[in-house]
Amino acid sequence: MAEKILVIAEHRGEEIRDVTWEILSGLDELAGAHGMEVHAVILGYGHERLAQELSGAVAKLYYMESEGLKFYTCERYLSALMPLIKEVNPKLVIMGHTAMGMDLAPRLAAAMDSPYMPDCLDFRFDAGCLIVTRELFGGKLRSEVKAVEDQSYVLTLRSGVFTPKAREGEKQVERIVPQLGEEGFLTQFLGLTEPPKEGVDITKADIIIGVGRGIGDKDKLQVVEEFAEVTGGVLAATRPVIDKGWLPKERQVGQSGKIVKPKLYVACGISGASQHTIGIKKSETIVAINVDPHAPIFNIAHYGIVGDLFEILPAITSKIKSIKSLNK
Amino acid sequence: MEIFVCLRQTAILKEEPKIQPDGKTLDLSGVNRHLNEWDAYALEEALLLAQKYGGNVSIISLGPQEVEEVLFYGLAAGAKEAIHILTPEGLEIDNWVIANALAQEIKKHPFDLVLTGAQAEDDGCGEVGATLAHLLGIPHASLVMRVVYEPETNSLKVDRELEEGYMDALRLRLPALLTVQTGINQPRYISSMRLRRFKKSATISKVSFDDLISKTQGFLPKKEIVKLYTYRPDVSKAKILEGSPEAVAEQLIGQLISKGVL
Repeated sequence: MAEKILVIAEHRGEEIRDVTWEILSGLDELAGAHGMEVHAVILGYGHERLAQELSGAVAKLYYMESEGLKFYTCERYLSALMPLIKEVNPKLVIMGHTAMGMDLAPRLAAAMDSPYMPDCLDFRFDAGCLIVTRELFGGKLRSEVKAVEDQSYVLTLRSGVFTPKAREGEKQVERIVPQLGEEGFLTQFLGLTEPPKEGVDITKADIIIGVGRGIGDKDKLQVVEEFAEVTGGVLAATRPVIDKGWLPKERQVGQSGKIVKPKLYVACGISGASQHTIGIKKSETIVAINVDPHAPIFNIAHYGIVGDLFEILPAITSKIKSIKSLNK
Repeated sequence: MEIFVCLRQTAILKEEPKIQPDGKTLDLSGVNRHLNEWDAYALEEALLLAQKYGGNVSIISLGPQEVEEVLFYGLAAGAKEAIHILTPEGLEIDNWVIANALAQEIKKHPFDLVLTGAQAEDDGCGEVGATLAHLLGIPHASLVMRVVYEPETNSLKVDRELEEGYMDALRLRLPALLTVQTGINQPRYISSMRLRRFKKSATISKVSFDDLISKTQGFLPKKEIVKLYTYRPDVSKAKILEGSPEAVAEQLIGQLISKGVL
């Protein structure tokens, strides 16, 4: 019998999240090479339509439906998934390295007593052992990590690594109603909060000047502010800058902040960790200024400048000023 | 409330990390280390909770002799007790083993709440927290951005961060474990004078890693790094502008104007 891979699907706002489709793309080669069967499970309540949609893309789709599964909580998901995993006996359980995956996958792996491989960029089987590629130190290094031989492995895949593609297969859903014994749970879901709408909406800006850790000090923001002023751009920042309270939360760009698609994004002192670049990748033009010629930000930049932000930005600012005064 | 905070010491990597000739280990000689950024927020949150609701903060760390540094730091910040699980030189372990050793030690003490950082700067796994919660048999929530204690139900109300500004609100019955996200608070500043004073006078309880594991099974690593390499960005798609700041500015503005961006 073919070995199985079980994808744990993710949904929010009545949509299957992109990362689930990306995982399916990432699995094509692996499943093909080893003759493995891709199964998926979607947990929810009233999510029949999503289950139908996903079922056309996999060999078998399990839809676990219960009121307690309407929103994700680790305890209920685990309680529903463990019996299914026992039954399916997958070689690999895979989900996105998202807020859900980061919460669920390590606990699931521990409960299964299986090796856990988080935030993978790539994965393969070598003589039955799982080997994955992942980053270290925020992208400065990469590693290949080999799991010890085990009956099954748990893996989370980074968002945005693989490209989703259209899949049309037979749509058949196996509906399972798990018995969740609600009184035993120690976690209670209270609600999902939408992002606050106050402040500047940076997603509407044509020009965004992004500030990263490289700025070094709040006082030095002035240099970037002057640059933003002459270009008519708005300031945004990476998480570390927001965490320090140097700019308000609504200016945060990246995985946990906003996804922006301006005409021009100027990345100032931003190293280019994936949590940030996922939020700017779709910008029409990206300019990166960084002292480190090996900063990952140059991967996605259209124009790169290796050098000191505080020498380069003022030079650009004054150049634009002089052009503007000539045009007056 | 008895609170345990798990602290990890992480290397501060400069631009050009050195890899050992074996091709799978990092050369950390002469590299400075500090308290993992996420753990600094976890420590601060523990201190704030103890201050607000009463209780004690204990800190625990696993590693060779030098991890004492982060424990002294935690004591200087306000933790009452520090436990160091001392590992033998050159021990090869993974997060599974770390979580098991922490669980063995923490189980010996009374606790209501365990905090960890949401992930570590070095491996970025985010694995120890949820694994430890499983081993302790308590509920957990990760990526926590807000914590409120509700004494009437002995519960915590927490907000955990999702993507793109969304948040989940949860209630967890104590004892529980939370993994803390950066930005939840502003970690306090510890002066070097204060830190020196604590290094001179504060005490750290030592626990031998070997003693801890000799009592149990299941302490074997589940994974290992087989290859390590420096990541080089693919700059082939980027046009790298060179020259003096003025020359670079001129080129860039020219390009952006011709593309109609400026």
